Amino acid sequence: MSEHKADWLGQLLDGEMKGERLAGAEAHLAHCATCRAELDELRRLSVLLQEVPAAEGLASPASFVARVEGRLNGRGRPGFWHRALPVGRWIAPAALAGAWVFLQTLAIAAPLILLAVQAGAGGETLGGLLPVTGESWWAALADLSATGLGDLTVVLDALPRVVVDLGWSLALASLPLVCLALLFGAWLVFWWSRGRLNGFPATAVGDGG
Amino acid sequence: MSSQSDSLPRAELDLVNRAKDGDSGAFGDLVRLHRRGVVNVVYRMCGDAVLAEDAAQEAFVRAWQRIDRYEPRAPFRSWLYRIASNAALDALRRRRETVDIDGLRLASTGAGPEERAESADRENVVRQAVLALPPASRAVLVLREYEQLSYREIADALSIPMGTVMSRLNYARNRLRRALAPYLEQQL
Repeated sequence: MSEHKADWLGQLLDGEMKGERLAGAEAHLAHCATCRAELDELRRLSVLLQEVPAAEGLASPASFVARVEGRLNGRGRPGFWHRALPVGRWIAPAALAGAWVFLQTLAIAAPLILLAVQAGAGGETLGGLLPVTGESWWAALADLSATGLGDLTVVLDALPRVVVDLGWSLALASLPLVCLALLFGAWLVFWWSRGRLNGFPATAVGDGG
Repeated sequence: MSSQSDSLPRAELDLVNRAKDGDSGAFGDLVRLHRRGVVNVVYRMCGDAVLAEDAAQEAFVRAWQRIDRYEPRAPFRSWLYRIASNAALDALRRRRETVDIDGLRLASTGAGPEERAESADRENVVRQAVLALPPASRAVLVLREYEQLSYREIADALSIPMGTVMSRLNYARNRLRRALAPYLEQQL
C-alpha cells in the first residue's frame, strides 16, 4: 500500500465523501487492512461516545420556556442603537471615507471655483481675494506657464522650495488619512468591546460572531 | 443532509419571521422546538446538566436579542447551536472551577450494581476525555457526534471553513482515541 487514507477516514465515516473520492477510498479500504482497522476504531469511538447519556432530569418544556420568558422580561429586546451596532460598524468607516472624499474634493475644487467665479465676474466680485485680477483665468495660467517653465534657472532656483512644498503637501494630505485610520481603529475596538460585553464573543468556538 | 435555507421548514421560517417582528409567542414555540437540542449541545460542552440548563436558557435569551441578525441562509438550528456553544463556554468561564463529574446525573441502565458501576466509570472517563479537548475542537466534535450535523452545517454554525471543521474533528478524534484506547480495545 503506497498511501493510507487516515486523513479521509473521518469523512468516510461521516458520509461526507462522494463520487471519485468515495470510490477511491473504498477501493483502498478493500485491500488495506491498516485503514480498515483505523476505520473500525473510529466507529468504536463513535459508539463509545454515544454511551454517555444526554442530560437528564431537565425541567419540563413548559417550565423551561417559562424560565426563558422570565429572563426575557428582565432583559428585553435591545434598543435601536444596540441593534444597529453591527450595521454601524460599516456605516462608521463609510461615513469617515465619505467625509475625507468631500474634504479633498472641496480643497481641490474651491480655488478653481473661486478663480472661475472671479474670471466670470471680471475680477470685481471677488477682487482682493485672489492674486490674479482683471483677466480671464486661462490667461493667468498661460502667463504662469510662460514665466515658470520658460526660464530654466528660475526653475532650478525654485526646486528646493518646490521639494519642501511638495513634502509639506504630502504630509498635510496624509494627515487626514492617518486621522481617519485612527478613528476607524478606535471604532473597531469599541465595536469589539461592545460585542464582548454583550456576552457574544466573536471568536469563542467559531471564528466569527 | 442539506444545510441550505430551502430546507428550513416553512413553519419554522414563519416562526422566525414572527419572532423577528417581536412576537414573543412565536419565539416561545422556537424555544420548545429546539430546547432539547440546545440543552444537549451545552451539556456535552460543559458536562453538567444544571449548568447546561441555565446556559441553554441564557443562549435562548441571546438568540431573542439577536434574532434580527439571523439570515435564513443557514439553518436556524445551526445558528442557535453557535450561540449555545458560546453560552456554554461563558458559563464554564464564570464558574471558574473544575467540572464536578461525580455530581452529574447518570442514566439508569437497568444493569446490576457492578455492571452499572463499571458503565458509570466508563461514561465518566469518556465525558472527561471530551471535556479535556480544546473548546474549538470540542464544539465541532459535539455538533458532529451528538447532533449529527453535516460538515457544512458545522461550518455555518461556527463560522469556520469546512477544512477547519475537518482538521478540528480529526484532531479531536485522534486525541480521544489515544485517551480512550483501553476502552476501545475492550470493544473488540
